[in-house]
Amino acid sequence: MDTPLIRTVDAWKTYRVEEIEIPAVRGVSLEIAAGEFVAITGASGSGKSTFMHLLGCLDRLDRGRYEFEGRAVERLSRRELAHLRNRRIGFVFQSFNLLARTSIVDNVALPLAYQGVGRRERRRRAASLLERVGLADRLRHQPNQLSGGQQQRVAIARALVTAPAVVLADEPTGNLDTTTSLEIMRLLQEMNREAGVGIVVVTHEPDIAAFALRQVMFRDGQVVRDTASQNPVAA
Amino acid sequence: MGLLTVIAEALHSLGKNKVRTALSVLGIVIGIGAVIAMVAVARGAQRKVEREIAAIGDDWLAIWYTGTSRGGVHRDQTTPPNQAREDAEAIERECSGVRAASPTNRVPAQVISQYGNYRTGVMGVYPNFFDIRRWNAQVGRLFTVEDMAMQAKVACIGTTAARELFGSVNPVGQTIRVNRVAFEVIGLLDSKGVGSDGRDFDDIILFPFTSFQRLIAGNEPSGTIFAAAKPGVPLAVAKEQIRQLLRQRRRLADTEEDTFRIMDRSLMAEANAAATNTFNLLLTSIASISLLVGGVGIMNIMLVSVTERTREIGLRMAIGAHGTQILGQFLCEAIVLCVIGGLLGFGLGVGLAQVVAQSFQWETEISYWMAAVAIGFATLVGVFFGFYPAWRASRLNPIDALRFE
Ligand SMILES: Nc1ncnc2c1ncn2[C@@H]1O[C@H](COP(=O)(O)OP(=O)(O)OP(=O)(O)O)[C@@H](O)[C@H]1O
Ligand SMILES: [Mg+2]
Repeated sequence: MDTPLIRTVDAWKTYRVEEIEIPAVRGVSLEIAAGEFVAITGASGSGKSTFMHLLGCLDRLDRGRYEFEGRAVERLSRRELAHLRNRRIGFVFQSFNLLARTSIVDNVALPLAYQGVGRRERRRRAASLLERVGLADRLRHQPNQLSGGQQQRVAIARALVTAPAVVLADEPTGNLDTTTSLEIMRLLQEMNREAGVGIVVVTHEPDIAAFALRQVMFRDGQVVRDTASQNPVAA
Repeated sequence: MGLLTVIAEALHSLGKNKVRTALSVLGIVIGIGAVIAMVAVARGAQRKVEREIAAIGDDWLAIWYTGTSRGGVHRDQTTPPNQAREDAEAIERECSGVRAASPTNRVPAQVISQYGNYRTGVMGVYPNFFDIRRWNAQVGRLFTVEDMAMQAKVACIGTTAARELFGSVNPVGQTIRVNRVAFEVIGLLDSKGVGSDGRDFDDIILFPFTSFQRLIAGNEPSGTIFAAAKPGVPLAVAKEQIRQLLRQRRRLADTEEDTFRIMDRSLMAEANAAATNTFNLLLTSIASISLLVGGVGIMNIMLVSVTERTREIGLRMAIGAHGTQILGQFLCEAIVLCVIGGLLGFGLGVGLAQVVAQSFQWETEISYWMAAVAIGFATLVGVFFGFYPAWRASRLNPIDALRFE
């Protein structure tokens, strides 16, 4: 069997707030193959976001193992983690998290700057991705001049500009209306199919989760169900 | 990401947030500007005091006879009446470092004018005494070599004595009587003010030495000789020349002590130094307080944006920036801010000093050394408080920085 893209073994994460321990992720073992489209669902507070942060190397686990493309993440230095996030992982946040007062094209190009790609080349690649997400005519705009759905497309373009192995999206449609949400999900689905990039989406909504080929359900920091859907929503 | 990219990113980031940038620069500008302007004013004042002290004339020497003490027994040496005159003339003639020397004799006397009488110091001097002490007449004239040769009955009067004897009446042309002898006042001296020892240099009346000896002091042996060094000759050199000459004239053996004393400026210099020290202390405290205030301002403005910037750092880390790249950017931003702020602050300080100089007619003097210290300090504070939060944020897990509140 191929090395999975993501493999966690008995992963734990406990928050400590003034002597009180809040176990948010309690022994999750999960494998995600390259190019998979996975939805993570579950009640509020069940540990989905915490688990996503672990997957994205934004936070470290307390216990257990986490391998990304076969490499033990716990053993990577901060610099190696930064490198991994930069080259192999793309993020899409619920609140978009674009740099204010910075043009759309520069926002999308930013991850490439940290790879040392020249400005002209950076902008060229950012522009082509923005065209791909349907914002070719907005390159010079600033984030606050765009609608929520448009901002999230920018964030998706930014996540994809480095051609990562996986895009991690924590409630990417949480701030959007239904129509826009479906558009965003279709966009992710296209990227998954055409570029073969893995997608992990956290969501509350069944119709969003339905875009994925596999649903993983969390409850109290544990995986309680892991099902493959037979007929996902068609593009 | 190379150095150029880091700098470009820093400049770009500064340009993006113009208000924040402007406020940060403003803090630095005000801090540095205040220090430079304050110090310029304080230094100007100090210069003025120094010049005023120098104007009193402090490049002269006073020589007087002491007699000898041998084996603990003090022996008075009788001074022949004309010895001071002869010594003074010999000093002026033979000491290459001496510009002028004058014998003097000073006694207290009751002086009478038509308006009243007053007890003051009267003093006989050579005309070159005015040059030695750099005293000038504000009204009338000083007496001359001719006046002395003719033993003219003339006098020059200090402002305090003039006020006591004549009130607000112009003393020049008036008559004063000392020992029943009438003298014409021919000059009113410039006011020299009270010396650092509290002595009133204006409470005095000067007479030609010859007239004074004959008509006022009788044959009293004269006292102190005043001498002045030539321009550029250190006082110590002139002093040593005089000492050697007088020892030779006294025929003192090598084993014998001096039978006279020469007082130089060092006593006055001490007083000057004390005044200057007080000034420096004042100046230093003004500068330190301004710097502190400026520093607190810079710190505040830098810290105000910490939350926003911490989130920005979280995002940059999430998309793959590593610590060095982030710190490089923030360090660059802080340095650029401080350099711009430093230059503008310097300009502001110089401008303010000029405005003060012109509107109050005060003297100001820019201290480049102090400016360097101020800019250096502001840069240190700015870089520290611009950089430290970034450094802390870059130590966080990206998610903690992203969620920072
Ligand atoms: N930074 C934190 N410090 C302390 N406790 C935290 C922190 N973040 C999350 N938690 C706690 O950990 C648990 C899991 O939180 P998490 O955000 O992972 O849930 P979630 O499944 O994403 O919920 P939601 O659907 O509401 O986003 C919760 O009980 C939460 O209160
Ligand atoms: Mg969540």
